[in-house]
Amino acid sequence: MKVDVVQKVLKANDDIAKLVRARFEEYAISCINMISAPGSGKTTLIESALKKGISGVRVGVIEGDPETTRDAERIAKYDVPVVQINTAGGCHLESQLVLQALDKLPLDTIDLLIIENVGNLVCPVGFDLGEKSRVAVVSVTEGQDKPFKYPRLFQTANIVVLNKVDLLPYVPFDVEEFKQGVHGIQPDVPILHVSCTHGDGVEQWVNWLKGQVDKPTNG
Amino acid sequence: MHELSIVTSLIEQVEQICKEQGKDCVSKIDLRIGFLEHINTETFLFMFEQVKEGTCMEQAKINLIIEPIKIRCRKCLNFYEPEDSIWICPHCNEVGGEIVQGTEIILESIYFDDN
Repeated sequence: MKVDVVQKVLKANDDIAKLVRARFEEYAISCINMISAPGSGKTTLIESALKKGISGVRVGVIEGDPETTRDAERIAKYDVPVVQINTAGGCHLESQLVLQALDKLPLDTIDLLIIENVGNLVCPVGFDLGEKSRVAVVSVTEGQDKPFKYPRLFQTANIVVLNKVDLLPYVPFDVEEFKQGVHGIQPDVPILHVSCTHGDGVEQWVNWLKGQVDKPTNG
Repeated sequence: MHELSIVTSLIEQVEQICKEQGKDCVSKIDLRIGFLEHINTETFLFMFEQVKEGTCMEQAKINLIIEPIKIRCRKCLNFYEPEDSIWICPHCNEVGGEIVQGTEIILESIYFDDN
């Protein structure tokens, strides 16, 4: 006997992501999901924004890592609410983990929730976390071929951050080929050049984050 | 390694359907995997072997159908399957477009032994 089903296999994750999204709507929170390889500078990008300040926007952060609370400790120094999720070796965050983390955050005091996913260019991509926007981060030391090798991430990203551009004089990174790769998949996605060390592009990064918030608070 | 999460999710879904159908075990399933899901089929089947024990899928065969990427050109609206990682419409040379196939994992059908 054959039974036709036609059901998405990650339906459970998608269903919980809907619950997460409903919580965000209830509290008027805009959520972004940052995805990159390990060591591309996701945490430093968050720190740079917090250091510069996103005027009128109250930030909360969820950190995802296989082990340790190191990233959450870095973020906590900026006096913003932060929760560390340890996946115990798991290679990506799932909506269930985010839903649980929301219980530990003061949601009524957050306008922008930044989720830093586990460093990985493949696994996090298929798991909706209830985010409004997705940020793909690539640092110039990783090589310009990433969009060709990992098209799904670049296809689903709302913005691509090319990080550590201060190292461009020292590494053989072909910016034009990188752009061609990204825009060959998504012609209109913005690519932001950032150096957190020298401060290049940090203002644009902060402005983009601010633009994600629907209703900036007055205070 | 996202294959493990997907296998676990798949088995939970099939168990639920078994319950609804009043069946104890499944003989085969058809599973469509979009190319852009980046599933390593060997890893996927290996993970399945590790976790199927004691579930309704212990004896089940998995028929994997890999679906290629299909794009709808945003300019001429024709459909095409891109040949490499830069998506260029073969009809009008426009770059990029809307993905209409290749990004989902779909449990298509379940087969039960007739007895």
